[in-house]
Amino acid sequence: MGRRTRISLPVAMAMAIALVAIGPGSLPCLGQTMNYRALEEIFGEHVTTSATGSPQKVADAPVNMEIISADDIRRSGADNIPDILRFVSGIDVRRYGATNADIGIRGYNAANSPRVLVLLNGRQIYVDYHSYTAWSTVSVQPEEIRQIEVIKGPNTALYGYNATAGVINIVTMDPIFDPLNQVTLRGGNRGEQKMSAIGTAQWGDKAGLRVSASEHGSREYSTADQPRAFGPYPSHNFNRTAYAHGRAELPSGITVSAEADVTKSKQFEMTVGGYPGWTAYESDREKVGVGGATSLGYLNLNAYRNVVDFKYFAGWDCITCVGVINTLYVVQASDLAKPAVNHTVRAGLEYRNNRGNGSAYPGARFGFDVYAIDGMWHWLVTPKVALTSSVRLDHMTFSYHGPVDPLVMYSAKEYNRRPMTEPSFNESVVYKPTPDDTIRLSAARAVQAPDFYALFPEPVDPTFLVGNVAALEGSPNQKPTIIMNQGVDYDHKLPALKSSAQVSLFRQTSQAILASPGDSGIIDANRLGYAGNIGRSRALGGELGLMGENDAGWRWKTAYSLVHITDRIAVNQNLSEPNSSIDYRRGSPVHSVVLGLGRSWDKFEADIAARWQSGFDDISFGGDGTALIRTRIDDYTTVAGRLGYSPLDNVTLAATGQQLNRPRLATTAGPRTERRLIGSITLRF
Amino acid sequence: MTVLSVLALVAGVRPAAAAAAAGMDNRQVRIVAKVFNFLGKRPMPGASVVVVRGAADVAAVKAALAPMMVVEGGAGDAAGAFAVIVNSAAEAIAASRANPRVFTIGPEVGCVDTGACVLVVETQPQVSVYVSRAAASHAGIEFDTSFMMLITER
Repeated sequence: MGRRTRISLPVAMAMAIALVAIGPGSLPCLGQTMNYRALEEIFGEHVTTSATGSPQKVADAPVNMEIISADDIRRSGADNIPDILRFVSGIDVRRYGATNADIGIRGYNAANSPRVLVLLNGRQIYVDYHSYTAWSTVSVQPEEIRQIEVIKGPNTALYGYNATAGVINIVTMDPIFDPLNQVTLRGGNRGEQKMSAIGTAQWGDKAGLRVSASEHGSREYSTADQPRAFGPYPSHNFNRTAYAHGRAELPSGITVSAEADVTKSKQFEMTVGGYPGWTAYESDREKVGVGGATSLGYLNLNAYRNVVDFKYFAGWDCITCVGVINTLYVVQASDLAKPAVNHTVRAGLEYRNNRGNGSAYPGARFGFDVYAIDGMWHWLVTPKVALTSSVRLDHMTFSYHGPVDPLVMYSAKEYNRRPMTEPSFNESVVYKPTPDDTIRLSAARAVQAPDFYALFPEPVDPTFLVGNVAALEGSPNQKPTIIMNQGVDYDHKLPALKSSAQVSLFRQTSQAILASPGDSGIIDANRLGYAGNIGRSRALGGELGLMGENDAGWRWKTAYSLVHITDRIAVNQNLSEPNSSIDYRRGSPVHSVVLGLGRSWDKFEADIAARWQSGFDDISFGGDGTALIRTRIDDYTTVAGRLGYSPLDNVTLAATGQQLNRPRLATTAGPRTERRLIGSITLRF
Repeated sequence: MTVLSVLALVAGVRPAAAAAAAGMDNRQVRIVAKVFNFLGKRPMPGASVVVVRGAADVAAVKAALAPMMVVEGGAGDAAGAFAVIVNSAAEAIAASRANPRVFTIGPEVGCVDTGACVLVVETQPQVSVYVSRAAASHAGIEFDTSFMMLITER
């Protein structure tokens, strides 16, 4: 945030009007402008805005949050975020491809996992078409990430629908305060090749611009290991990225920022419903913002545009490839104020315009608009007790313009369904009986909205037949999934051991679970599969962890997580063959253990991490592709390590090994994950 | 009688008792220097900082606030200074009398509680930053919004 130079209210209003007048297509989006580094140097701990929209020390945040720091990222040796998150407790990573993975928080993982909202500096990179994150479209390099903030548990009261299992916010370095100039070359087995470059230009301490670009390719996952359904697929995966982030603090006290990125990728992917495929993405995203202190508090205005062009190849070539272009515009305004010494309040407005079209929906254009209002109140009741209350109201309207096949049971009018209005809340009490102890009680109501794929009709193609389904159709009658979550956390610092311990317990219920077409079990006489709500589910679980580091350079981490799910759903009940890819109870590993040990000394860094998880079922179209198959993934252990050496201050050599313990390992119903040995050199300027 | 004096009397601050407080250690000094980066109006290079005798190690303050002119003196020497580091609330009040716009920095949280000091930094058992809203307003000191969300106001 900028300095507390006051802007008069008329100026603030003029600023807002000017932004609105520009129009959403070219509006600037506000970058996260808090000086994280300087604040961490003062308080000696991580700070965040992801819990409530207000800056907080992580220890004070009213949510269960884990921070993966820049040091953690570097020491992991990983060059993509799923591989980094694999060693975080409570997170389940299904690594379907070299650049494709799905992530669940506290269970409920699935192909194209819809429950985890992923943000880059506060803007979503989550794709609304299928409600998932295409990780290959993440444009930033690991070296330019300041921290990854993982919120375990729902937070739709701040972020809106779909932040239902948790939030992953990727916070990048500040172009003004964090100069980065470097080139990294990586190479290894399985055809691993990557080159990335990052450069920063700074103008005093008032303006900065950072740009980065990368090209990555690999031949990981041999063709022999691939599921046969619709395949075989090329083993070559690639992605290219370019990213720019600029920020300036104007003499008037106003802060302006802008971000833009483009990505292009091709990869093997397990798509929603368990359909394996060869997929291609092209994305471009822009974000601009402005903010400043006013007499009413800190006013933030930002806007961004995401365009993701997705193509699905059912087979090696584009014989039956179909695609969707998802265009999202978001405009947000918020005001953050501290009207009294123990009270912080935040008010926000948001408008989202979400549209889809493309070859999968010839002649059609559809989408939804969201109008939302939210508020947060943080009250420091006593020096040891704080209450935080966040509420949000989302109002969604839907539109469909295009043909509807006569065989489809709904009309075009019905696809322009009535609006939906849903509240969300996050309530919490944080009690700090001693400086070393924190107890956190929380309750939340979260909303998961249906996505394009589940809402709108596709053309009926008589040549298309997968299993018993000839076409996959959205349904206008779906309700949102409502998630209720209660949690209790206890954090305890152990100064004598230079460690901290955490215990978390949660209970979560999901009502009216959304299922995509083909997953709901709803198939009509014309063999058209429809999306629908399929029942309810309940999860109980928790995490137990101990982590620390000492002055001798040693660091350690150990964590156990448990999630036990009970489904009451209308699919996969007493069937010899599955009729849906959804089976949360058997599809979620119940137990997982993460261990990590590392040390830094002289010019060296050495780290090793291991994860064991219990078995689970992954349901997908395997075999000859005519039916869903339940694949049992046995419990497994995977080990990764990195050895880094910096012979000069500006040169780092590193050797990274992933899945060191097994050359090939079945971790999903997709291709087996292979051992990877990667060397890298980083030159800093 | 100044507002600060009234606040101090209301809070029952006695100069003799407050004077017993130990001065800031070097870690506190380094953190105070970092806090300067979050001021609405940062001090110009060459702006003076008065360290009241015993309030902090002058050499450490000079090192932490390198572009600024750091001098050792009494609370009454705050006239014309940007900031003054004091031993007690009473010294903070005296400094404010000499210069109502001076940024008063004290050694312990009681100084902020009384409204005599603008800023106090504690480092044990963990880093806590305290700001007196009344004293800051009186001295015309403003902080970055994000910083204010992270500290304890009194």
